[in-house]
Amino acid sequence: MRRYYEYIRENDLTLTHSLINLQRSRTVSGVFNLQEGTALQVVRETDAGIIVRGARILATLGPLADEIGVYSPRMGRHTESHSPFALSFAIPCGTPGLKFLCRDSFDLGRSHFDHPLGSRFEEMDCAVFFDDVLVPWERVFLLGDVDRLNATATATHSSAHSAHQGATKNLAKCEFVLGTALLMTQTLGNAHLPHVEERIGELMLTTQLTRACMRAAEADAKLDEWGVMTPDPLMVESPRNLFMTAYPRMIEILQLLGSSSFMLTPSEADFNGPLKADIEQYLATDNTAARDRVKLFRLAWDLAGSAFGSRQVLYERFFASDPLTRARAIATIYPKQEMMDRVLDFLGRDDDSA
Amino acid sequence: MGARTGKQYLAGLREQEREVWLGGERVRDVTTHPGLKNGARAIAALYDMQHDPKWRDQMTYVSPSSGERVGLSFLIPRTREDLETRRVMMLNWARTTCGMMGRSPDFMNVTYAAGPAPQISSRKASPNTATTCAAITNTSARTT
Repeated sequence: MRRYYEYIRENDLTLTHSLINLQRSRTVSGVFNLQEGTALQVVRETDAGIIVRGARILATLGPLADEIGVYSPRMGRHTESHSPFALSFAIPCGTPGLKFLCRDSFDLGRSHFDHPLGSRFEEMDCAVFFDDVLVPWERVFLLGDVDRLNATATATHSSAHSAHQGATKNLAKCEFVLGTALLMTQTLGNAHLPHVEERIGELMLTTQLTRACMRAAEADAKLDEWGVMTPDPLMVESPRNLFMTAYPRMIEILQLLGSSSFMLTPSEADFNGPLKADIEQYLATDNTAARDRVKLFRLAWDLAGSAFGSRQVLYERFFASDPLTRARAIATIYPKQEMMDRVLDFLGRDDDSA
Repeated sequence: MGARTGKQYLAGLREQEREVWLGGERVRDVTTHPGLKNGARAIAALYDMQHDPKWRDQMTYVSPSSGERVGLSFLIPRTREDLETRRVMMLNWARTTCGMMGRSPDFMNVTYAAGPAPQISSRKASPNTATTCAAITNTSARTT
C-alpha cells in the first residue's frame, strides 16, 4: 500500500473507486447481501495473483480514470462468512476482463451557451463488471481478512481526509449556487421582495455553515497515532450529513426563485434565427439584455432542472451513503456523555438555599 | 514523472485501452467520444493548473522521494498548516469545476495518502504501531 501510494503520487494518476456490491434484492437490509454470482469475490488464487469475479458500483469517473481502487465503505461490516468478499486492491482500468457500463451521458453535445455545465463537467457513473480479472499480488492490499477489512478505515482515518475534501467541494458548490441565485434576483429585479430575501439568506447560511465546518475541521485537527494531522472527525462528518438535505434544498430554492424564467430560455440557435429581434426585445429585463438573461437562466436550469443538474442532486443525496447510515456515523463519534452530564449536573443542582 | 499536464493525462487515457460501454456500443477512445470527451477535458484542465505559473505553487509540492514537483493532494499532512495548504489546492480545483466534479483526482489522492501505510518506512515503530500496522497493511504473506 505504501508503494502504491508513492506510485500514484510520482505518476500523478487519476483513480476511480467502487465500494459497493450490487444487490439482487432489498429484502435483507444492508449492502452485504452477497448472493452468489453478483458480489465481487475471489474465485481463485494463482502464483500471479488473485482472480476476481462479480460486479461493483458505482465507479464515478471510471472511463476517465487511470486506475480503479476497490475496497469497502467505512460503515460496512463484514462477518466471517464474507471472507471471499473481503478485498482491497487497485488495478489499471485497462486490465483485461474489467468492463465499465456507463449510464446515459448528460453531455448532450450542445454549446456552452445552451448547456453550460453538462457540456463541460460530465464525469460519468459506471457499473463495473469483473470477468475473471487477474489482480497481481503486488496490487492486493487485503485479502480475506474480515477483521482487518472492517478496521481499515477507522485505523487510517481515511474518511476524515476524504470528507475534508468533500467539504471543500461542497463549499465550491454552495458558492456557485449562491452566486447564480444572486445573479437571478438581480436580473429579475426581485431582490427586495421579502420572500426572496429569506431564500437568499438560507443559501448564505448553508454556504457559511459549510465553510465554518471545513475551517473548524482544520482548526481542531489532531495528530493521529501515525503522526498524520487529521481533520476533526465531527467537524467533517457534520457537513457531510448536512449536505444530503441542504443541497437538494438549495436547488429547490433556485427553482422557486427562477419559476417561469426557466421556461424562457431559447437556445443559442434561436438568437441567430428569424425571431432574433423579438427575443431580444421581449426577453430583456429592466437591467439585463435578453441574451445575458437567457445565458444565466440556462445555467440555472443546468443546476436545477436538466438531467445533468438532477444527477447532481441525486449524487449529493447519496454520495455519503444513506441518511440513516450518516446519522449513525455522527452518533458514534459524538461526545454524548458530555451532553448528558451537563443536564445531569443541572438536575442535581442544590441551589434552594441560595 | 511528477505532476502531469493535461496533455499527458489525455495521452495516458488513450494509451491504456479500456473496455467501456455506452449506449450499446464499445467506446474506442474516451478522449474523443462525444459523451465523455468534455469531462476528460475538464480533468485535463485541472492537471494543467499544476504547471500554470499562476497556480503552480498552490497546486504542487516537492516530492520527498524524487525531488520532483507532485500534486499537493498527495501531501501527507503533518501540521494544521499542511491541512490548510492542501485545502487551498483542493478548493482551487473545486472552484474550477464549480463543484460539479465530486471525483476530481484529489478525492482518491487524499484517501490513499491517509493512514499509517505511507509512514511505516519513515517512522520508528513502537510495539503499538507495529500491531496496528499489521492490522491494516498487506495481510497476506504472499502480497509482501
